[in-house]
Amino acid sequence: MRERKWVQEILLYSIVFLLTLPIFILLIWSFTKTWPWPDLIPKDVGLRGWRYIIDPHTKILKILCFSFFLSLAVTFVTLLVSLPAAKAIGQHNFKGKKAIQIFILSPIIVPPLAVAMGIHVKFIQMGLADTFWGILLVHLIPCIPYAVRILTNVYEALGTRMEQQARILGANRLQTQFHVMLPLLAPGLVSAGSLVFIISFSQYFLTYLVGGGKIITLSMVLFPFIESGDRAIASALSLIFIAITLIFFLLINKILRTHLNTQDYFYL
Amino acid sequence: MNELQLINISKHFDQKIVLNEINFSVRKGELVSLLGPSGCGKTTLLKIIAGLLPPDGGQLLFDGNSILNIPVERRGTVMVFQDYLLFPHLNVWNNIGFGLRMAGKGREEQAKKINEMLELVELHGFEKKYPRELSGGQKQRVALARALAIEPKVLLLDEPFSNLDARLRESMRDFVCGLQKKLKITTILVTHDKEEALLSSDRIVLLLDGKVQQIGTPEEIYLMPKNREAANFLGKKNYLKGRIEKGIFYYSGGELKSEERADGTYWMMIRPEEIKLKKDKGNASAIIVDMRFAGDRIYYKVKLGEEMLECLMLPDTIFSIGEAVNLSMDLQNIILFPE
Repeated sequence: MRERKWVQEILLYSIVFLLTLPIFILLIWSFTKTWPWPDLIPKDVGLRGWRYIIDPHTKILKILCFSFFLSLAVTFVTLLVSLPAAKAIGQHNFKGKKAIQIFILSPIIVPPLAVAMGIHVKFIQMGLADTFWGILLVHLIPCIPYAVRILTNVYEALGTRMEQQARILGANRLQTQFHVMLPLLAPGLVSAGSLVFIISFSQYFLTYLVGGGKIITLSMVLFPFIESGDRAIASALSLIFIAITLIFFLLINKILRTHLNTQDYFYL
Repeated sequence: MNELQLINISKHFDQKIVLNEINFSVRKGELVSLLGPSGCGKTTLLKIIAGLLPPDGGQLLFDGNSILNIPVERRGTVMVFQDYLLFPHLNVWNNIGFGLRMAGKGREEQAKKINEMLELVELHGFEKKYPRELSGGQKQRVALARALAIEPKVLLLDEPFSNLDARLRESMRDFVCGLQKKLKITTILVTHDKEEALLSSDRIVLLLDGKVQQIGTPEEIYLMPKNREAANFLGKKNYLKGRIEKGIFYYSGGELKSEERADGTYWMMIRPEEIKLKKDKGNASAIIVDMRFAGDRIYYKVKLGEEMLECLMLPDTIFSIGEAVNLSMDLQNIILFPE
């Protein structure tokens, strides 16, 4: 028995090590320009990479903030739109339900890229290309399927009984959703929200295409640096990218989890 | 004075008829039990009264006015479910005050009412606790307090005691019935437990196969069931076949005067507690086939000739299996059911 536990621990630590190893490598790379094999630690060390980011001329911090808020907005709108859809699918049966479900989930099967060209043309016609709102709308496409999928499962697990009880006690439909359902949905919203944020934050090609170079997000700054082989800046930017998504995830988790207790959520 | 009236209420799910022209009324302050086996539509009927489900036919009147078009949240009927459905994210105080909060009552008014309710259900000191920290009985009291806080016109209880263990069931039953009498609140209680219905109700509505079989006080329902189904639901019964000819009922145990009944084949229903067993004095006619000791009473299965009879006795004498006994039958309350 003891032996088993020892093996399990070794396995656990190896996995954690393998997952975090790339971050360490990135960290080292961000402080250097060249790191030739067979050196374990590079000799050429400098702050060039990081200085580039802080330099106001490059506007990187501004782009960072913009990307963060764009993805935040996308998350908010996605959840707003996905909640009623998930409620309908999770709690009701209606004609064409299966078809609608497949339709909503289609961006997972058909890459948004395939339809992005057509969308871009349409957006140009509507004057939405190269605008914040255009990008936001385009980001919704890959995000909504995941949010709907997660929230549908939560609605299915919750059932309609709590809502019925609330209405019996005198709450109208709006009050029921706000005072009873939303708190009960919280863990689901955490999951869906975190996932959607990451999806939106990582978008490259969609933003590039529909944004036309006018709207710049962090990914759009990052990729050229990776291509050009400037490892220092690329690594630094990558680390910031990871840091931001991690911060968002931990933040949302902390805010919602401090008010919750897993025992209350029988579906957890 | 009839406060709540159900007129020809019907409901079906897909092709199956769940409720078939249900008619009954409830007087103000009365406790009526809906008694019936599980799955016979009692909960559905309760939901229709509460407004959670629309009936497929019929009328629902309160004080003479139809309430079918009034939405759930404004009907003034409150339902307490079998599993209480307390809001897990709110503590006891906020659970009880939920209805008041939704109605827009002020903080002070809420506090006054909530304290009143806590006093009523004897849960002072539990305000800050969460549902997950409460026992079954405590949860039920919170659910009741929450329902009564909004001063409903009709209280609907769906099998309120099924989830509790036997002892708690008894004390909660006394508690709820006491509360109901004290507040004089019109109540409909749904149960499949005949004892519960008999002990709690002013009147019982017996629901079998989606139809109202009989309505009456506990005494009426138990002592004067209208048919065999109604009789059987209220406990094991014995049936002795016989014939009525010219006003006399002939059966295996003798004969009985029954002048008002028409000639024909009849089943005589006699209750287990109406059959008394006596020690064998040498001319025993029956033999004990089974004996079940239940503490304050004993259940016997007795073979009399070709008939197998159920018998219920107090434990002052205990007969054993295989023993020969004499039977005496109390024929005061027997009922003759036509074939």
